Amino acid sequence: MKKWMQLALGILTGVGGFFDIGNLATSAQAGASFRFQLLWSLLLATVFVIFLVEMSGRFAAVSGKALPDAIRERFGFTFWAGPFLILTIIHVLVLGAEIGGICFALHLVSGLPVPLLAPVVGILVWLLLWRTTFSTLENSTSFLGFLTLAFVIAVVVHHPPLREIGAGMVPSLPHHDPAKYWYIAVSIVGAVLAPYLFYFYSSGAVEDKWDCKYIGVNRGISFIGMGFGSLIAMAAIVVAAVVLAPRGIQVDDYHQAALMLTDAFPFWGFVLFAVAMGIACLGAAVEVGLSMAYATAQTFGWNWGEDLEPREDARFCLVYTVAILISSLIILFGVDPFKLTLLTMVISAAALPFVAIPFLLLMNDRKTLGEHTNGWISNTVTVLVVILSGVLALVSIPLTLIGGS
Amino acid sequence: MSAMMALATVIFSCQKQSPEEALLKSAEPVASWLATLRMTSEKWAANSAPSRFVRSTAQTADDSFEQAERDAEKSKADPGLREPFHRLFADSRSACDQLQRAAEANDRAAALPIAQRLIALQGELAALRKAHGEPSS
Repeated sequence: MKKWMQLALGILTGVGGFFDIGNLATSAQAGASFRFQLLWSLLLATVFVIFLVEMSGRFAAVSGKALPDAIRERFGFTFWAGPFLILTIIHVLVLGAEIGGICFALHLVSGLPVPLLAPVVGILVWLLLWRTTFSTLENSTSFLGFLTLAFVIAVVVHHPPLREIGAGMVPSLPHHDPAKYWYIAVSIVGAVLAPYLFYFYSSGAVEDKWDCKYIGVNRGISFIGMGFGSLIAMAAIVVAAVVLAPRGIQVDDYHQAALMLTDAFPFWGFVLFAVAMGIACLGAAVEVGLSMAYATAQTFGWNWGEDLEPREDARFCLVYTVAILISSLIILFGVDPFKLTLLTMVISAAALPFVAIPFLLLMNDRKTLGEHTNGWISNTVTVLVVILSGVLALVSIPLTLIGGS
Repeated sequence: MSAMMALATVIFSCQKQSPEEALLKSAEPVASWLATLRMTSEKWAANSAPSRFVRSTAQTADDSFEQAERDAEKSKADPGLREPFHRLFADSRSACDQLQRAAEANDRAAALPIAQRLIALQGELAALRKAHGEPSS
């Protein structure tokens, strides 16, 4: 395939893969509660995610290895066991949140109770993983993910105050409810810097057989794809700020966000929201399921690959099957998908040090990367991520107790 | 770990609320849900939302109103403060129930009068919160 085609496809994947249930929930909550004031946290997280995704792609292209594989080989199983366990818990929780999001989207269009939809959705996600190849999954969910551009079009329709949006890009202290403000800021960072994204991206690069020639493509995908993905999340904040905040609606449940597109699209807004939510979550659920199977198979040195027949990598398939089962059961037993999403995003943010530190060490390993090790800019950004994630880890749990209640 | 425990302890001790503050706090989700139901009613009347969505939103809002009503019943706040809030939460449940029944009957014509009732409740709640020193958002 020609390089520009790869680049275009990768950008599509970036856009489609970026916006998921975590971004939707945290953006709606941020815009409804603090209007444009939390745009800065999304902007900051976007800068970090661009660098981290670029690094994970570069690593895979140069070494031909995905991250867990390389971390285990370079630092040993004992070093990786702790982060792997944390990563596994996060994978299951995120998968539960995504499945909950699909269930809620189906609940909007069918009226059926969310828990009852969980087994159907679980089977749908599993069938997608079981029956299709990596590129089919990647391309179909990415193209359908473009429906989330409805949020960007809604922003154009609303003509929001650009000066206030600009002011929101600069960090500022909250005028009210500081615990909730910082809680949402942490959740936004957790939603953008989702650990699964890096593991999925690096494993995908190995599946697509990237080599050093793809470093430029990888850079383009990381910057443009993640940038556009972030634009959609920012648009969701802006739409919530102009539609929900003036009405005094705070988002503590998905029902409170479901009408946010109906001012811009009076007839189609409701359906558009449901479909965009369902597609974004479906794409993410497939990615998270795969990411967990990749990470587990690479950690234990099993066969892995979405393009292999299930009988060739039975343990890989078993991992995503069990993960989907557990995650669906979480929703089936009546856990509120919105609360699960926010809690998961905070835990995700708290787990960032476990992702960022091995990353930093690996990206400076000359033996593996040769001339493609990190430069000072990438290292500075990663160190900032490590510091930020340390602070987040410290404050996220108390914030969950007081801000998330 | 111990630093985190210390931080949590400090935050919790700062967060300890008086019964009056707790009661005012319980009015926040009620205000938000009243606004949600109003928007839902208006969008339903304008054919921008289906009846089944109105029904399930009203059901979810009712859970929040019921919780606030129960909290107000148990509150140790001054009766002069507690009673008007308790009555307002009960009225909110009644409006919510009215909307739910209208949605079940697919009676879109009832949507705008219910929205008017919700606007009145929003006004009452905002005035009550303002009178006791809370922002009226």
